[in-house]
Amino acid sequence: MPSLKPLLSDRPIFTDFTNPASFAVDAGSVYLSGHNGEERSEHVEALRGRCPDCTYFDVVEIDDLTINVDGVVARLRSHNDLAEVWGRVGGRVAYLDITGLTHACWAPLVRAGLEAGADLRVIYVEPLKYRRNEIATEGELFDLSVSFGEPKPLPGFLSLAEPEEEQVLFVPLLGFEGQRFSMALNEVEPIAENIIPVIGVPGFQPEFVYFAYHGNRRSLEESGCWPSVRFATANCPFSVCYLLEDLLSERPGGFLKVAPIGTKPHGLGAVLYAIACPGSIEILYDHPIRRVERTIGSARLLVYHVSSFFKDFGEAGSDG
Amino acid sequence: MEPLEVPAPDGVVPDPTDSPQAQLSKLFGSYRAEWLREHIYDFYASPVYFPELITGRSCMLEGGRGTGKTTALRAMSWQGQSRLSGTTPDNWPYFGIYYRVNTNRVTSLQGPELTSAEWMAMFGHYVNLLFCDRLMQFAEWFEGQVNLAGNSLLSAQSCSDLALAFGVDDEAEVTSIGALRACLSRSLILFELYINNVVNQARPPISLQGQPIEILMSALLKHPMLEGKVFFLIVDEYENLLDDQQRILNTLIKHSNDTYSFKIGVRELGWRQRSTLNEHEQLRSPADFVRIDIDQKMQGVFQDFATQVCNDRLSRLQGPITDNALLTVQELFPRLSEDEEALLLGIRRHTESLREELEMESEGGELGVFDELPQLYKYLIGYWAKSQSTSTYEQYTHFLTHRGEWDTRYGNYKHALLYTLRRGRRGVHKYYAGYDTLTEVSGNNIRFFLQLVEHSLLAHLNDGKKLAEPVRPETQTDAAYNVGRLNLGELEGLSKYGMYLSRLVLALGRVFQVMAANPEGHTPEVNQFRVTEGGDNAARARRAKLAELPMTVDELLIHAVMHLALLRMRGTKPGDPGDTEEYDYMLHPVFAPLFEFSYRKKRRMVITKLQLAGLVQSPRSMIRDVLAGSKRYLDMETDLPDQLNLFSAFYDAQP
Repeated sequence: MPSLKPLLSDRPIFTDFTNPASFAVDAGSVYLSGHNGEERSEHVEALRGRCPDCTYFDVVEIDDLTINVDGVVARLRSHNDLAEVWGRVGGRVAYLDITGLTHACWAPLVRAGLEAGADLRVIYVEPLKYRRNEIATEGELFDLSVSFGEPKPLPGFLSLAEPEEEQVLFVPLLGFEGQRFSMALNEVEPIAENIIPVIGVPGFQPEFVYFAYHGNRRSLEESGCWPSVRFATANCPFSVCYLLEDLLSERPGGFLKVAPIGTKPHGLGAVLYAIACPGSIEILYDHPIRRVERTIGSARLLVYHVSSFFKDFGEAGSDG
Repeated sequence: MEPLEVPAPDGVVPDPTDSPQAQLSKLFGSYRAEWLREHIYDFYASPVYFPELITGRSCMLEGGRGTGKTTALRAMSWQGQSRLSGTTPDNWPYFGIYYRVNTNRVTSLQGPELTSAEWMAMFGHYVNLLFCDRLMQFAEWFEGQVNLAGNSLLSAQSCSDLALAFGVDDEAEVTSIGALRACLSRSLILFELYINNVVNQARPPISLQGQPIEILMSALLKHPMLEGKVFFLIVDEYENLLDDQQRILNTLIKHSNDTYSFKIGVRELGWRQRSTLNEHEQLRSPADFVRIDIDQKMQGVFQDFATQVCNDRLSRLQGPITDNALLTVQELFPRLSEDEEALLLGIRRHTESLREELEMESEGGELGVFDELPQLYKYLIGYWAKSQSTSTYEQYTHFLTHRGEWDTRYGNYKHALLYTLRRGRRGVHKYYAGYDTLTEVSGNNIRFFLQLVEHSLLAHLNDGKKLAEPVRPETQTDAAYNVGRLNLGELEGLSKYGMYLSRLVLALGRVFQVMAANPEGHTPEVNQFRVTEGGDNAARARRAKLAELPMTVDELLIHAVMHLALLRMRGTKPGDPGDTEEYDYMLHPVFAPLFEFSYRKKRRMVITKLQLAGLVQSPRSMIRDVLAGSKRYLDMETDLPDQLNLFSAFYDAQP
């Protein structure tokens, strides 16, 4: 009899739920964060006042391959540069706030942090609302991106694996922007029955699930993949890891092509999986140029105990 | 070289127990080569340019999405030939090695960490790895298909030589195809590790651009079984390569020889770099390659090709649906003449009242000639009277004495008049029906044509009709509207500027819709435009305005053409003073039924770059502005026709 896997909701979530106003960090820790003009990424200023015993590192994105962390320039395709950043953190507890950072910036930092053995906690603040689209064409309810870059791997996450197309499971982690799903479909051109879209359920807000379906309706319908939709809690990276693990166990020999085009926590899940099991996944990313003030307000603040999770999952992944 | 004879496919036969709709979807719904997978070859119909494509010369196969590029290129691949040729591979004159450019990979081969020359070397190495692995995959397959009597396609020495070309340390031990593939796989992993840590990782051995490919092909072609054959290196979606990467492949194309050539699939405007690595050396047609422009090649023959493709698919229907069925597109979509269409659009309502008017104005005069005229001609007389602000009778008497002049006018206006017959009324304002019309609406694009046929037939069946009767013009028109809408939606996912392309189509569509519905006093059937810079004052305003867009208007136009939002035609008519561009543009005719304007390539207007930018940034005000340029004044609140209500949020927005 096949072993029954526990439900996603029954697996450990390594997450603390709080809110930006009352969130506090451990004394003696290091807090790395960036600002992108969104209100929700500004909570760090208040945090500095509440928790003065923490060291704060500003992360500034110079270009899509270079960052400056508290005055030190680091190239994102340089293990040594990134190791130096984590060297400055030392053995202290590290909080990496990804709210105001792009995927291209935080993903290599997460990998380098885990490789450096840091006690890494990733912080994410949910938005209260998204900005509505003033010039709405059909389906695009929200005005989140000015445009997109070329599809390009996240720095350090290039995969050149050449699986047979039948082996490829295309897993778009969907958000509200149907255009991104459509672009990813055009890029990957997957076999229809190998498309497994993931929608964030429960969403940050109850109605967000409907927005996700509404935004992606055309591609879900046209590619015929809508019956294959899987769900993972929108603010839970670990659920995505578990889900990706499940998908590969359901299809032995499969190769994942994951497009993290939805929530940032889902993106974090894909990145964690790629760190744990690099030979079985390729991440496709479209590098959106985000509209300033695309979100309004702040909702929950989440603390993801990434190192703790990775101790279990990463070891299992590398064994597997 | 003799062209390959492509036999009629015997492949896909739907299950007769499937519903008629399911059968149609199976046969027509897979109009994208990538969705068809292995069935791509079952549905294959050889395009007219195929013999040219399979000569020994390098080719640039140029065409928009949906024009059949990928299908034709994959038909040349060894996988395609194995399905289509009907003979064993030792009888094939050529072997095609197919590679579709993977944007997510090639875009990673750039950045500030290396110099441009170094990145080009990296890309050259990557191409070597890709093509050599594919060539060896072919070799392994070939050895399984043909009895080589133990004489492998690659000698141990050749395997070892190739390993050396890739800088493998223990190359002497690489003596078989399997071992060589394992080596290349390892080289690929090393290369991946290097790129991911390009600043610090020790650089792995990098092969010389093109050298391993030449070594491998030359070794393979020495085998008696492959002697005299040629290899085609097929690169699809060339537009996805970075500029420098195009120059590298251009160099390989330039130096290809009689044992191998390149077959490149590229979208219009996607081949951005014509030079080789030597910037003074350009790739020239016909010296270096043959340019095959699908659109040009299909002129005059597209309809036959589309008929063949559709009728072949219809012939595969099974079960009761085929009882007394009309199984050709000509029978299912009979031509609808302009006169017939005018009747359907209720022209009699207009002409009867015209006659009453004439009777009164002529005070019982002779109207026999009028009565004998076709309905649209009668309508033209009334229309002309209105546009000239004269009486109908005055125009009628002019017609009687200037028949030649009026016949010319009738020729010019006949089609345009159809758009005015039902303006301001609910329901259909213009039919898009009949095989000829659907061909024109598809813009000679086979994917769009298949979509139009599929959507029409499905709607026909869903109305409870059988294939024993032709599809009603209303049904075809609805289907054409839906296909236009679908493709508008699809634009957003085709380009990083997709949302701007959708906005451009919505805004221009509205402009041409209003112009089509209100032609009085204007040139009829204006549906093209030429882009000008605009005057000095405008230029200042434009610069300020364009700063808000993430691309220039020229880039927007390039993306619009590449992704078939617009068609681009070399301007043939005398330019107006101030014209700076030599091309005319029109919205792709697949969008004509969505907005209701003419799908025919007709007359043009001038739009400035500022206006184009405005149409995507502030559509509401700029649509009004463009229309005011031709003295058409629009009430945005009340004039939106039914079919565009779905987009009212877009047209109402006041950003």
